[in-house]
Amino acid sequence: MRKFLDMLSRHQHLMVALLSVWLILTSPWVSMFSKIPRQPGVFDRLHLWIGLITLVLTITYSVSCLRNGGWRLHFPWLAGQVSQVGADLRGLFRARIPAAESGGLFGALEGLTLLALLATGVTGAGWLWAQGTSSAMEWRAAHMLVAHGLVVFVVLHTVAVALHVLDFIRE
Amino acid sequence: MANILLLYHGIYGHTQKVCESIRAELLTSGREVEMAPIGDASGLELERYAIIVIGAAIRNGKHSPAVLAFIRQHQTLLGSKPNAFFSVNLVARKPAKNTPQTNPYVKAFLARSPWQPQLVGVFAGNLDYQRYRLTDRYIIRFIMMLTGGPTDLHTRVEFTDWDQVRRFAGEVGALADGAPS
Repeated sequence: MRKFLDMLSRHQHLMVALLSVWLILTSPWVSMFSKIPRQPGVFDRLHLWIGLITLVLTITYSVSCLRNGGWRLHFPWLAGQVSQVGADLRGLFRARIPAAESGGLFGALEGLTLLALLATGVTGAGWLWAQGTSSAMEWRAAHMLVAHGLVVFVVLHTVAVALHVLDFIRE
Repeated sequence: MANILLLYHGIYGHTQKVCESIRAELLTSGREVEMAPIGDASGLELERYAIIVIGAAIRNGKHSPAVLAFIRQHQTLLGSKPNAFFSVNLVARKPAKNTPQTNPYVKAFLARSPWQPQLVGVFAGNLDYQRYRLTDRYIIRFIMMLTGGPTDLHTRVEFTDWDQVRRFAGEVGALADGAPS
């Protein structure tokens, strides 16, 4: 059991990434509005179950990322350390890729991606809790709004990783 | 006698081995040395050490976020006493990239870190594909392919220059001589 939990802990990022991409890519086939249909389709069922699993994994992954001072790298403004993010942004305008090390602009971007993931999961769970009530459609709208934000951050995060690989090859 | 703390972060044990070599060298010159993984540092009274040395390995193109998080958390304390940092990475196997001034990882680390260590070392690591987890094995193989390194999955090479590690330990010892006990 401990071995399984260790393995789970090591692969949290990969699992959250794969499950999130799956949820995003299959979302056009999800047709749930104010409540779970009497006969939900396969994509409806999978969206609910995988969404809940992803929410749990996102919470545990966030804890791993933020403990032992990790929050300073992902949310530098909370520690009043925004100069590095500013320097990275100025560098980008001069076509200079931020350092591959943690923190800075790309670290802050990772923090925002985590927040968007959490918000997407929480609003999804909120819809599940409120489904069948008058507030369900508001939860749904909020869920879709933050999910669109998540897509933007996932794309930016992917671009950042690709830039680091390019920088590595150049070095 | 100045009390020296060696903190390290690695994945497959080579950074710990480098740390042990530094520790052994310092012990032979009669110094007090303690060693701990950086993840256990929260349980230590960092104030009581005269010198702090941090060693970190590269994984997936960067030092572990835990290292930089520790540095940001203890920036003032680190700056208040003699200190040193060393990086262990495979790129340092190349003669043109084995100094703090020429190693891209160390340059990136120094550019990002709010703490500027007084002494910086960079040592070539160990390549042993069979010890790596599956994903790491193929990521490292890809990096080796890009950097012209060995790609045979049965390769086991220790690129570390242990004389260089011992020289670095000597420099840490010299820092200790100037530190208040």
